[in-house]
Amino acid sequence: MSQNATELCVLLVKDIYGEVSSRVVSVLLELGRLPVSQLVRQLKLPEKIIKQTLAVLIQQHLVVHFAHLETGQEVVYYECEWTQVYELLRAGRIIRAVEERFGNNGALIVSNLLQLGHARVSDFIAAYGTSTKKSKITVNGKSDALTIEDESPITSIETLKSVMADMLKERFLVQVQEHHMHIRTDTQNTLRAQLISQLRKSQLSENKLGKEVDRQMKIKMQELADGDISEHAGMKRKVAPASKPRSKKRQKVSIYDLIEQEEEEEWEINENIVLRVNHEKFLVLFRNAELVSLAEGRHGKVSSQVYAEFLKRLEGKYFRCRELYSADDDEEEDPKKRIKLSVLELSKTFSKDIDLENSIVAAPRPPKKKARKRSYSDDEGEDKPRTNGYKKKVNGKGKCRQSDSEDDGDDDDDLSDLEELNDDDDEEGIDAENRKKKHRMELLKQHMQLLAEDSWKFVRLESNRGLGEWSVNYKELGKLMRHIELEKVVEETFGEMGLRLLRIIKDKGKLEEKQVASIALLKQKEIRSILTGLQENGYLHLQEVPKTSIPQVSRTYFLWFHDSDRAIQSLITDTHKAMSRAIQRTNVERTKRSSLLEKWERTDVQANVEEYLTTSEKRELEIWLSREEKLLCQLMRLDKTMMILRDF
Amino acid sequence: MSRGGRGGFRGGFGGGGGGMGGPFGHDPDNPPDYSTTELFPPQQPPVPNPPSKEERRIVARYRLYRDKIHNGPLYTVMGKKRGMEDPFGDVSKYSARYKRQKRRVPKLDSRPYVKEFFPEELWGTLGIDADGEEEGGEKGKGKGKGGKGQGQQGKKLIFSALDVIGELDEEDEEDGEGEDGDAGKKGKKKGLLQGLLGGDVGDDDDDDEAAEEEEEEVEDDFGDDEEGDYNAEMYFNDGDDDDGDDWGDEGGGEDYY
Repeated sequence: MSQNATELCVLLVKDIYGEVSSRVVSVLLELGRLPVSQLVRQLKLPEKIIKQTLAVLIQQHLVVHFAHLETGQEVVYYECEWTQVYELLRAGRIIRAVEERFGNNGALIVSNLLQLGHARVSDFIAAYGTSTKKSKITVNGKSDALTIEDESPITSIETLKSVMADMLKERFLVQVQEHHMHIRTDTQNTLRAQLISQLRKSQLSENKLGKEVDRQMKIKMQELADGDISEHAGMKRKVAPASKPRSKKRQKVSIYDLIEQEEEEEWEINENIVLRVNHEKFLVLFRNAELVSLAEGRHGKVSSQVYAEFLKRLEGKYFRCRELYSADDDEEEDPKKRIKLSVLELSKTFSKDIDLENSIVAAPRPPKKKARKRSYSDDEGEDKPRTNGYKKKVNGKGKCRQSDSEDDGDDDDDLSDLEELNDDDDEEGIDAENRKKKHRMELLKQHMQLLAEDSWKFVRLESNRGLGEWSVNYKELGKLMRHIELEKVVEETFGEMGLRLLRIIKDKGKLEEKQVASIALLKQKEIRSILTGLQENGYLHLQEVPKTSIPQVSRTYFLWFHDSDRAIQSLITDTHKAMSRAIQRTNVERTKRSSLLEKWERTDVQANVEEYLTTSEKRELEIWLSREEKLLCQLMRLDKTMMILRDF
Repeated sequence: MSRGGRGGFRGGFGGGGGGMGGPFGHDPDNPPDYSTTELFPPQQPPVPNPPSKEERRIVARYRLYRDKIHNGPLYTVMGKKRGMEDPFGDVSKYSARYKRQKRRVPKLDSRPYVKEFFPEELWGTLGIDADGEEEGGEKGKGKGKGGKGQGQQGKKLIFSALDVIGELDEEDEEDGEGEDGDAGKKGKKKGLLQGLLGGDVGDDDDDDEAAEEEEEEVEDDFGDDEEGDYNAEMYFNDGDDDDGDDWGDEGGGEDYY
């Protein structure tokens, strides 16, 4: 990890867990793994405090540990897991995402788990029980959550548990295993040692042994990383007395009955497991969101909604954005292994609220039955108001988010359509329903085709089964997103000309300055400073090719080229730095007003702000709060960039 | 840090080998600019877009999360070293009883732990016996009678309710989008404040400009305004330095660059 990343991590820990923790973290990051005795020497703090701080950091998963046997006694080494430290920044984003998805209950669970690090389910539920004891009204939280305003919605423990189980199922929460708390390299080393000693017995040659160990290591590490992926992981059977008498009644128990019973059995979360928030899975969610917003920019609202639904369906199959241990390009080479979804399957769960009607304009054809679909504007004009078949009703921006009333209107349209058009159909409501469904699927397919035909290749066609099966090539899309991000930065710093030069060089490979100038139709001296600037920032690189055997500057070609990996790396470093600066700036602003903020935080002042603060103080506080918000907002934006650059 | 270097390449110099042909070579059409460049050439700071609603929600959530941890048992600050106390500021006052409590050591014994996840040498710190049994809290809240459930009786996880930020959103919508609703949604206190100040908050568009001006202003008299009129430490420190001619303003400014 770079120096800038270290700086950022230390600042983050300081911001959230205070100064003592940040000092421990900074020493651990700078010097690598250390035992307690070394930490004491480095930090010059009492051992007790260091141990307590380490306990805090381990609880929050910021520090991992491993015990080694050294000279007969166990020495425990501690190491800081900096990626976890970085995740502290995403707390807000994660809570927001869960709020959207699982409602207030989910957000409640996640925000508490983030504060607690990890927690046993039973403890968690007990704590929840006491915190809501005062008002023990149990209402269905989901429906009533919106009406209760100032207090947290009162939810029954059962509801909470089921939300928790859902989140566990979708892997937003994961069960903490012991190896999560250990240093990864050490886990790996012990595993390897075990494997080697096992395989030695099988008399393999040294070379083969190594390969075999590598192969098995990969599988084992993958298993460890994935954890328990069975359907009912972390769950237990619910005690359901109601089902028993019924099964007694049945005398003959056929196989089908058994299966049926199996399915009917209810599962609830096992209270003995320990849970934590799974940051990896949230990244998958954020990546999808980012892709959807890209698609929206290119294809408009409805297509992006279709895309969002599609990605949501695939989401369960992706555990993390980048697989650590899988063989590279495995997925790419073997089309059978790709994760795909057909339109048919998609349409089954496709949200009814999304209105697909009129979202794509069909090619003009002679007016037949489906006159509604006909329109004379051309294919890309998705947001243009268009006239509706024969009613001449302007369905303005028909593809933007439809309110319910508009939906109703459309349905009426459909009905009148049917009435007018098909006299033979009016008796058979089912048939009409079917037709509608079919039509909808056709539209879905068209949207998918739109997405696939884009030069950015949001999806790709796998086969024609079930109205077309589609998959997503996340690897390529990740590259694309990174490149877009890089281009944005270059355009911001060097203007259009910089961006153009970068694109030219990326497109052509290695070029001399003269060639760049001639392609760009610019003078050499105009582009020189920009090229140098791009090089200084690490977005372009220079290669020297001597003409003669004795290298001389005057007899050398200087070729410009763009190495995207290196460019991204230097952009990551810069982003880390920018993030640190944003936090530091916030700190400076805070210390400037430290006395005011201290006053504001006093409990008596908090109780009645009106009386205790003067007008100027209030104004100052306003300024501070809005300024902090802006800085934090900037930080979150940088974090978004960072996600794209590093994690996707 | 000096921005002078960055200004440099615009001049187009950087005489590498001095030969012809290379990108760094001397170019007769484009003679290098040897005049001195300004140390801090004026630069227009880029102005970011105003935060969107979603972004502000994320920020609000982040802040609430941070506040909860700061109020919780795990947030720690460094104690002041002996002899470093401010003889005037650190005198205990009556109002100190209302102040937010600051911890120098985290409070660990208030909640149950999953001891398997911690190295053995830390068990003592967490309040767990070497045998693996919970001590039931060092303050003897619930005496450990062997069973895990028993031992944990006194210990509960701290559970905090989810703050509602939705209501402030609606306020926002009334205010109108973007710029002038800027001061909304900062948790409840913020909402309260906003209510108090009423009209003042609305004119946030000049706040942006004012903010920038102000920043510059404040930077000039660094470290002056937060300590009040009379700052003992500053006085003594500058007294020691011989070059302190007019001590008040430049106390912090001297070595700023």
